[in-house]
Amino acid sequence: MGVELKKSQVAFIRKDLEKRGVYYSPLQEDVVDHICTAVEAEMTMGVRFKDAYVSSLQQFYPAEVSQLQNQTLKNLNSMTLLSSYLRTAFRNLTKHKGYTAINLLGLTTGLAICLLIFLFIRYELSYDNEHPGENLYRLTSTIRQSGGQVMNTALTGAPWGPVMVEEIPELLEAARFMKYRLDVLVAYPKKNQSYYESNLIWGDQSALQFFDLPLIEGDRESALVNPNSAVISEATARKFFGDGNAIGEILQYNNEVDLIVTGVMRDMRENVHFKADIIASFNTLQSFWGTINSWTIQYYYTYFKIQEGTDIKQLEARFPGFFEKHIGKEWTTRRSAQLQAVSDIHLRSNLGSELKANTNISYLYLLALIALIILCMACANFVNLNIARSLNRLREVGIRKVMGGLRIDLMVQFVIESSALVVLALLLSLFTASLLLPFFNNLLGKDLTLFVELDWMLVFFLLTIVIVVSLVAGALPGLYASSVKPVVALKGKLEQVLGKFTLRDALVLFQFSICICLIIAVGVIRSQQRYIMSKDLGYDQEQLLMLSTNNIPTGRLEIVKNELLDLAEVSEVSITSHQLAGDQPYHSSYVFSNAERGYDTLLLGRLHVDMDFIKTYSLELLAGRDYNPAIASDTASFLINETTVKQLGLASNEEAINLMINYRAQGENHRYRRTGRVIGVIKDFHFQSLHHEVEGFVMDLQPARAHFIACKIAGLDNFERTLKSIEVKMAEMVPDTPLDYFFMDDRLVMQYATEAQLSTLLSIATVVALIVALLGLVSLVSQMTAFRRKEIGVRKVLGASSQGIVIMISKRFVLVILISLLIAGAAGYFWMDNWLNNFSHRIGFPWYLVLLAGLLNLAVTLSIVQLIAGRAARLNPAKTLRYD
Amino acid sequence: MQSSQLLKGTFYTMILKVLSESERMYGYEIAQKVKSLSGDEIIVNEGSLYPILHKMEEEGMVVAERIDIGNRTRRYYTLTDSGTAKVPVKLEEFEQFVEVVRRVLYPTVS
Repeated sequence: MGVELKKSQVAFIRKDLEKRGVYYSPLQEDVVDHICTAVEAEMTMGVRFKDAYVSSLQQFYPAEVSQLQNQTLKNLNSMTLLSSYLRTAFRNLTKHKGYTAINLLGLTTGLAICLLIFLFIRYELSYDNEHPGENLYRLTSTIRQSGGQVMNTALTGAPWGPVMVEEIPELLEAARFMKYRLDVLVAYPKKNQSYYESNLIWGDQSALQFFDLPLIEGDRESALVNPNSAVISEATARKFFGDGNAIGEILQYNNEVDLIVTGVMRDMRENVHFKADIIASFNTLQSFWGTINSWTIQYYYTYFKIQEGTDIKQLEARFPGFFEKHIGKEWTTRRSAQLQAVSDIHLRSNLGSELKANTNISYLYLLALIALIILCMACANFVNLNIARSLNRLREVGIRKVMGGLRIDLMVQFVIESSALVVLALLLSLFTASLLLPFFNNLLGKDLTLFVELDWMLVFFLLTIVIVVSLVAGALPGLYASSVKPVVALKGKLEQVLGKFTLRDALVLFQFSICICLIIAVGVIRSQQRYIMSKDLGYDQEQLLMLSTNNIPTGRLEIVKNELLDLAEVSEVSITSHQLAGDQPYHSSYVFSNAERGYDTLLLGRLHVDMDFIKTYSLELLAGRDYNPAIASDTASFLINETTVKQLGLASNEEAINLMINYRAQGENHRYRRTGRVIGVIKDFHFQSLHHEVEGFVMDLQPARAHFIACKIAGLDNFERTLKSIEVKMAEMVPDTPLDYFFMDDRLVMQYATEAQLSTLLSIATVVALIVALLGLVSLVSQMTAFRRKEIGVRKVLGASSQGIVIMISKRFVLVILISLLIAGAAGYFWMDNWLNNFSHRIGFPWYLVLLAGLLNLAVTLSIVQLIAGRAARLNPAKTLRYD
Repeated sequence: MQSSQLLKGTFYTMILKVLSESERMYGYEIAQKVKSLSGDEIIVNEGSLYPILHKMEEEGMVVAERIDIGNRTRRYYTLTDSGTAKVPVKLEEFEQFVEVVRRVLYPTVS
């Protein structure tokens, strides 16, 4: 039975051969095995290990053994070498599982979140870039109020567009849209079906040529030429007609206007600034929509196709003349019109009455920045971890001592190892991202896809990451090893400037600052959200069930109201023209006067209510009285809010009581002209979201303008049952009409969808950043303790306690956290205070969050140090000092 | 035998032949086998053995198997089908070569 070498002896031989320059892994294995076998043979004969090794080596290869490697590699082609490097890399990576896992996890998480954010940004940038019409612009308008307030709106007058095209040659063609602010009832009388449609748009024939609206059936050139025609989406066609034929079928709008289906279009993509399921021909409006010929009523959207190469500023300069000619001088002193590129609408437009919620481009910049920072963090950690490990290996191999420089093939091995990791992380992150995409879409209400088509931007982006990260992580240690001098010189200089501030400290500082900053941001946004939700809106939004009055004849409304009041579950009912949650208010001019003098003419928000308005919404009456059914003149009386009193410049609310209001007719629309007295002043309530200041509002009774029935639900229990009984009651009174309802508090939440989205995204980003930073910290601390293993051992021998050593290592981190707290606190304050200024009603900057984020970071860091360094510190110094 | 220059060209053939007579062999074993077959006359210099083996592996004549033998990994080499097919070709080549050398060194007048 022959001698068998111990593992440590084999390791000694392997290390020695590596030092002598045999490290091409397949050859190394051969040579190690060969020499071991020879050594074992000699030792069986009684020779000592060291002597046996020396003679075996001498016998094996009398010359410098590194030449054997050169000779072997010389004959092989590069593919063999590459595959061998890859196999070795794989073996090394599986051997050091902890290192590989931390590296992969950090990089994968970072890359995955970057991918998701990239997809989101790409989607947001893709809005309105598929339209066939070139050089499309939207007409917008501005209204300057006497108080200096400026209102920008996307709404324009219906006759403007076509006449502008006639008179201004650069405007080639116009298209108009009209969309009623509420859902509308569309019925299919043949089958007695009806639905509330929220996406019915009245549009000119030219809109079909302007926008990306391809027809599957029907003629795109003429589908909307005739009145009473409509193009419907595939989904709508299926909804009404199943699989049957759609063309030529007749739908009915609001039980009064017939619409003949002339075309079926592909369902619209989400990334267009409007959404239409039904486009009915604009000229249909002529027959029933009263204000269609008015120049001053702005309720329509106008788009132009503009001649290529036109100077938009010069074009806009001609608009005042146009409006002066058609509407008059008075109009142009207060109002003006501008052009806005259609492709800019989604990211750069924030006007009143947008057709769809837009995104602010600064929001995208912020996301891109966050993605970049997380990527930087992940990459920096990756590089750092790799450098530390490679340097260790270089030292082990003793390359610098023996060769005096750098072995190019060893560096190739490093680079291949790091790029294998990067590519693996990339694949894993693609996989993770595609797994997470459905949840991400769900959170953001988007429809993102990973692979729509080959996207060169994405490919380029990914390739750059792979190449840069693997080169830096792989080649840097090699360069570092080969050119110690410049680095040492640089470091020496840096140390003079910064004390002992190292690259590693910078890395930690950077990551801590980012994490603290993100935690502050998430905290502030969440606090502001909570504040918004709990803010007293001036009325009681709880327990309010809102019903649409759609389809109930004006004359029957009072009956419906009384029937609803009869229900045990309903305590109050009030009918209004608007919902008080993010509705677009009407504006009208009101002339105030009293017996002695005329006061002022103000452009104020207009709200039509009924006599139970104050009771149902629990509004506070500050002066005067509520409506009284017993007083006949009250049908012409007005309520105003506090802000109106202030705008009038009155000293007290009482002074406003009994002022006369002459509510001037607007344009040709004479229906609502009336004169009456102010009977009460209401405490300000929020009509729009808290982004907006409270406007002056005037309320009066106007049954013809009833759109919403608010039902105050009596008990807290069983909304389901209440809803059921209301449904039954409504079905009795207005048969064949689906119930259209919502709860006020739900609708209020929807006003802050953008903030909710930002908060969601930032929370995800923060969690990811924390994970990445945490992993980086874990590897940093293990590295530091490994580097200082000997020092720790010596200190222990000299009497230091384990805890003392942990404290020694922690000190540095505590210092860095304190500095990053200062940086991140300042950055977070500027960033978030600025963000809070978007709200008219905001919280103060919560400084305690800075402290909280700092403490959190400190706690996490110290526990990690305790965990890792503590373990190293508890080791028996006799063991740690035995090596080397 | 000292004339290693002469032998060098035939190592490839010898290794191939030795491998063909066995299921699988590792480097040390191959060297020992050649040595014993030649009655200790031929020592296959490792400087030639391993470069040839790795080249053969690249050419697909042999496959290497990594076997854990307890304290280290051993690479066993096995002839592939194309390696096996190559053996008679190489032997034939060698015969012809010897024949040609013989004709040059010992010309017989016919």
